[in-house]
Amino acid sequence: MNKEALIVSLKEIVKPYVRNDEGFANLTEETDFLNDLKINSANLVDVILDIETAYDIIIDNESMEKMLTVKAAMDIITSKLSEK
Amino acid sequence: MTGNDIVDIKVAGKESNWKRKGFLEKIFTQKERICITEAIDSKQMVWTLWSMKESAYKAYTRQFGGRFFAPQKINCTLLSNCKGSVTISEVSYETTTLITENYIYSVASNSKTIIEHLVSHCFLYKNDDYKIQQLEIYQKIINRYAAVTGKQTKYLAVVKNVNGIPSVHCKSEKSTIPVSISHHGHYGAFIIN
Repeated sequence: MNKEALIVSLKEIVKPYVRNDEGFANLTEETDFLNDLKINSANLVDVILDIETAYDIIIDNESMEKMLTVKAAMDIITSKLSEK
Repeated sequence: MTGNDIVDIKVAGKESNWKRKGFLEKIFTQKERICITEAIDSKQMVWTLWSMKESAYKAYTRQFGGRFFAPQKINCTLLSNCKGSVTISEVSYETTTLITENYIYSVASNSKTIIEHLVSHCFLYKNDDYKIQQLEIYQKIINRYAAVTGKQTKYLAVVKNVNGIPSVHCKSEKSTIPVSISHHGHYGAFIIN
């Protein structure tokens, strides 16, 4: 999956949990899930579970630890998909 | 170092389905999950342990810097209904949790004496828009700090550092005092250290 397609699909996943529409409209790789999108930290678990289901991957605790930005999520998804 | 975390119970019920497959496993250690299963009110236990973890995480990141999302690395032990102990990478925090009908509020501190002397303020927001809530809590903090210290509110501002950690800044004295802020749903809380 290319970068653009990955961002588009990731945007769909995070959408239900976003509380800052402005941050969502301006979403880039640098976007921070908590600070920019105001996703609450309990919902970050939902984002991670939704990513696991959407891409059929398992995000281990070590990867989850870094899962704070769009870029980190993209890197983790790409890396887990390449391991398949 | 202190940290706080408030959970609006009704809003948490709407926002999160803690019974969702994999949810508890991602957040809680095996020991904590047993605690949840055996609790009379499992939902209340989920949010009690969550607020303990979050409050200790805030105290930890304030002390050591950095950010991470590793709820399983934050180990909670409940010592009574309201007292607990939380360990993050061998650093221990004492926690006190207040459970009411509407919210669960935890305060973590690495010093027992500090926690007994902390004055925390919990309140109900008028509005549920986070931007308006932020302005409201900042104003409450400034007013409270001015009332305690006798400083004029016009010299005070709440500022955040690069990691998003807030402080009260006094422009006339160029001093900063750490403040812990938490809001969720309709409830807000702060501690001025």
